[in-house]
Amino acid sequence: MGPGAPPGEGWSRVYFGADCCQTLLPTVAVLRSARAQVPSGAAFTLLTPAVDDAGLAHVAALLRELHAGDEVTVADYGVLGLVRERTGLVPVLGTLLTRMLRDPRIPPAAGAFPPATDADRVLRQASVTSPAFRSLLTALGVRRVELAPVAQGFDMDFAAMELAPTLHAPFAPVTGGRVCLFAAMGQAPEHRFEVGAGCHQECRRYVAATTDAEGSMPHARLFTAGNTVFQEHPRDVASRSFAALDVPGARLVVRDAPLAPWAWSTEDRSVARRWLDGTA
Amino acid sequence: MNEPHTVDGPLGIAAPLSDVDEVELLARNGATEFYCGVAPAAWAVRYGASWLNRRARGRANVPSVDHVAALASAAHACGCALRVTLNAPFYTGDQLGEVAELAESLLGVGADGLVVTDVGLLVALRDRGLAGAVTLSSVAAVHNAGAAAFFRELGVRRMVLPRHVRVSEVASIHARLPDVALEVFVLNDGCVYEEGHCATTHALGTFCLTPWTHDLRRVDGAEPTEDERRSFAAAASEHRRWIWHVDNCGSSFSDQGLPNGPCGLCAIGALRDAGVRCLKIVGRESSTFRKVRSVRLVNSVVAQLAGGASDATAAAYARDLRNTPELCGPGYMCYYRDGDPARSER
Repeated sequence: MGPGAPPGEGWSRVYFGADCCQTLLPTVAVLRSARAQVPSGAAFTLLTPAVDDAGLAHVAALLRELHAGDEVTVADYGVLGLVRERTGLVPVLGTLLTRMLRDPRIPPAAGAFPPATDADRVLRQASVTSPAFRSLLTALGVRRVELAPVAQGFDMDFAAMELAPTLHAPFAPVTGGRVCLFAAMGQAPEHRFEVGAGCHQECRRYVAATTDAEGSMPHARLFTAGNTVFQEHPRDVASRSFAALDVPGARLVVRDAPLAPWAWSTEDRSVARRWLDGTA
Repeated sequence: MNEPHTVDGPLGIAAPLSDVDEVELLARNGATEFYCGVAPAAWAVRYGASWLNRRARGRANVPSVDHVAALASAAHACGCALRVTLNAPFYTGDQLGEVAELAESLLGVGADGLVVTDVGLLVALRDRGLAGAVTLSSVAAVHNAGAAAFFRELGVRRMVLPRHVRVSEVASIHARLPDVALEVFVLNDGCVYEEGHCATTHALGTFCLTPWTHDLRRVDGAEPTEDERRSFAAAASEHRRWIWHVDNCGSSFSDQGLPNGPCGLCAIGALRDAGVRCLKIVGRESSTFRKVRSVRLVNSVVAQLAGGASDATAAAYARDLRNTPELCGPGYMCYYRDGDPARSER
């Protein structure tokens, strides 16, 4: 299955893969096929997860299938090293390494009022606001970083930081790990919830709406998909988040489901705005 | 004094500290080094929910640099090193300078090392000539030799691997980077998710222990069948049971007075063989009683191995010592199922 039709005119880049689980890495053959299905004129980004040493070797094989100019989003500094070894590939710091709080319990930004205190402001900032971290990213050739919407909003000057931001919407990863609820559906009892145990990719078939039985997060739409809990943000939160990233090169990536293998993106703000407004 | 950043020497046991009164007691029971947290009031006032490390103020953190100095002095008197956790998942640009200053102060009053996650802080400490004092925190989520090499390039020579790692993965990292001292979790306080991939804050409570309810859906939009619902409900029920084990089995003790909860005792031999240099006992906020029992428990298995016991014999000893087959049986309490000789024989 290919990327499908873009949401409209102006969607110019295709994303493929998942950044949350090593077992979702494609085979070399699947990636080769996927890369061949990218429409002419569209750019390509491969999402990669954190991996063990065996996974690292597999990622190295996958990278050989990519074309010059392709982006690779990394969730692992080992993978970043591999991408840098491949001349022509463009490394992007993924959401899991562009660390910030995406906790559904953090209250939304209070209307139009700017955050009044340092305590408020740091909730709206990511690890890349650190000059020391940015200097290292620059040395490593990383010019783009990925984010997900947050209800508390962003307070970061990407122009001053000389980084291009990518916003994934509407799903934001909240937490995830190497132990998977869905994998347990098909595992022998002695391997359930065992780190590194194999699975049948049940997450390709199922997702679970996840609610707090005690009701402390009544407004959060949460989904457990594979090994990760995602929050689906309403369009207005995604819209506010994207509006705060008003710099050249800012990009919006949209997907229909938390682990949808394909997604489209745009750097055209008017196109992005139409999607965020629900008029695309 | 036991050096905190070495790849040589006997297997170390790192114990958590909350109070000077614990130092001698824990050292006498087998702790070879200590770690603690610090949470100055000024930081809490300024940054609120953005904690300096992954634990709250109170028992998990001493309140000031002076308190750290007292802990370091007491630890040194027992021949043990003290490291201080500055391991928030990240620090912002506003926070970085303040944390780096604090790091220098801590080392200045006698702390032997710092446990650090944030790459920006690592770079800042390297630039101040302090990289040698850094132990990489488990929150950095190093799962492969390439990631370990990345941090080694930044000057890190000791790393705490994440909770969710296999012994075979530890061995693989060690084989590629033998000059990096590896530390792993061995007892208490599991984590449902990968801490380094968790974007929640404990300041708002423990998100992963929320009593979730799940409504199964099919990705293709079709209604799940009864069989699918049954299979998922069974998995979800077992998942809740696994989480209870991860959460220290409800913070319980066994009939022998030993702490129940995440445990790698059976795998200590395999971990040593894989290149691990230090075993970390979790629980800065725990009672002194739980800490002492934890240290004794780990030390007794380490002593078996030091005395020449085989990995299998030491693992059998650990199981007999615990004597909780109902908890150990399913493997839900195990940090390293692949490191338990009895399981790997199955």
